[in-house]
Amino acid sequence: MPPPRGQLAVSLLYDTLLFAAMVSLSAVLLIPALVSPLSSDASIEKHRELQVDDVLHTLLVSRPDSFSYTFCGSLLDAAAGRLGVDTTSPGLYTAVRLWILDNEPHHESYEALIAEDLVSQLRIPDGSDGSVRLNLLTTDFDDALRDALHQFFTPLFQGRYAYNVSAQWHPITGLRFGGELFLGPPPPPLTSHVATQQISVPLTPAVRIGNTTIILSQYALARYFTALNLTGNRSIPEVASIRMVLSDYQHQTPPYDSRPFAEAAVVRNLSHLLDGFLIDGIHDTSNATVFPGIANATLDALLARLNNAAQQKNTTLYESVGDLVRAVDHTLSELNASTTTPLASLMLGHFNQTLDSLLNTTFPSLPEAIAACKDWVLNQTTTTVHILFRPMLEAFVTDLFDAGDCVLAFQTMLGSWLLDRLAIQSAYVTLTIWPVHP
Amino acid sequence: MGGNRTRHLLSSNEEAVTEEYTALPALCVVVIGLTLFFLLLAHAYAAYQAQSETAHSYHTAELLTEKLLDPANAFITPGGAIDLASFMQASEPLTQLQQDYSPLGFDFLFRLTANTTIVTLPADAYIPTNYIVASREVSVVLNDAQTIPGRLSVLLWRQP
Repeated sequence: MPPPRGQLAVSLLYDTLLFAAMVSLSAVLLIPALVSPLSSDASIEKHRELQVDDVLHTLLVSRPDSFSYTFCGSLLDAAAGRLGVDTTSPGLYTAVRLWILDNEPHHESYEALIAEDLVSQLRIPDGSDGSVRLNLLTTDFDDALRDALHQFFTPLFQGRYAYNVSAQWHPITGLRFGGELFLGPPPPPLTSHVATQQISVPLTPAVRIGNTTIILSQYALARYFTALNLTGNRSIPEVASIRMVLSDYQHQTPPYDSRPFAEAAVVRNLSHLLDGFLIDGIHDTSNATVFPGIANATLDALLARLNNAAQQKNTTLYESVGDLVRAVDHTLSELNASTTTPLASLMLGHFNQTLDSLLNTTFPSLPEAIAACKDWVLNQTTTTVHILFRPMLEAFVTDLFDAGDCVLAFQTMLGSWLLDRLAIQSAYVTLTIWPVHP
Repeated sequence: MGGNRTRHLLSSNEEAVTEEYTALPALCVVVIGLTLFFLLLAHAYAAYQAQSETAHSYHTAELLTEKLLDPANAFITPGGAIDLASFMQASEPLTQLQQDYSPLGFDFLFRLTANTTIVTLPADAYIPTNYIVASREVSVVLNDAQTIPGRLSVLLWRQP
């Protein structure tokens, strides 16, 4: 039989090469399964999530081995610097400064230190986006605390992670009034892990209203409002008008039968009420104070501390500051000649510097400066509160009108809505870490 | 049949159809290719197996650290820190844990590192080389005045 003849034949080796190519292709497809770090990546991610939580918790309960800061350190440095004393080299000045004014809160946990520092700062919003620190007695506290935190994290992360710590205490949520502490570079947006914890601050401002004294805390305030019957109290003009508008709307009585008109009226009155609650106090028809205002009361408590610290004479502090100032230079006539304490003069100088930049005025004495400062802060706060809380206010009013019985809704919701704006005793510490690739 | 056939191994030839001498190298290539492919497949499977086993062991180790940090344990202080003195005495609950995990084929020990102090429980354990570690950052109470950051690790391995 003759072999079949054809013009178009393909070598068997083509098949083999095709086969080899297919096998290689499937091998390439398999390679990711061999070398893929997917599962270990997921584990690492999870580990880091857990780690940032753990580290923050560890930080807050740990105690620094030795921690100290110099009370009014930077103020004295500035004063001594003006007199020509070299404040940078270790000499008599530094020795005396440390010996007399060093404050060593031993065996305090980082949590307590952070909380104390936040409360001591007395920061106020500066009208734009930032804040100004009014208490200059404790600026050295910030620096020492940052150093201590740095010493805590460095051996722990050993250069593998970069970190950012931010601690904030804002008695009125969202308003930059209170205290802030920041450490570390800004974190990258994608690769960082974040943990936040709430800590309590050592401040319990108490206010005296009539014959009762109440501590400004959510619990005590809620009780006080219940006792006061805030939402039903017709002697408070704002509450009376809101109730009237709401009930008119519910019964479709003109002029408040149209919803936009009624809503606008409620927003206006509620805005007044919120101002009163947060800032300058709620008053009744006879102009008696029903509630003094959160910012007002907190500021009073903080400023009173500051004023006491500065004005007290014949105390150890006064004597030691006086001694130190005299030790620095006997010719410190500008301070000793004044009737106030040396510390008060130092502070007044700095207050004036701050106020000059904010208000373009200076004051002859510390109490006047403090009073002016308080007024300015309250004013400033009012403006910021209006901008900040306007959307929330409108949302709340919409909720009120959406509820079936809006008078009842107002009665039940107002108290908790007002109290939700507060975080007087809590500060938040946030730790962000992200891996550093060498 | 002509002399061209040997010259054009990889091309068609209008004068012939059978290529008996090309079939052998072709078969060789196929066999080698298949062998490599199956090797790769086996390797991939083994790698997957090893990875999932590691992940499983790691999760077990992690779970153990969690059990150890349970506030119900006697050596955990109210703040969630580990009290070093009572941790060193706490061999009884740890032995219990080891007994619980033994039927699953796991063996492990705990190590607490704080500053220069290293506590291993049980202290006399034999540690093989292929262990897996899960660590947690904790704070360690040395005494009433000192609480320092430390690290709690579980070293876990499969029983041979």
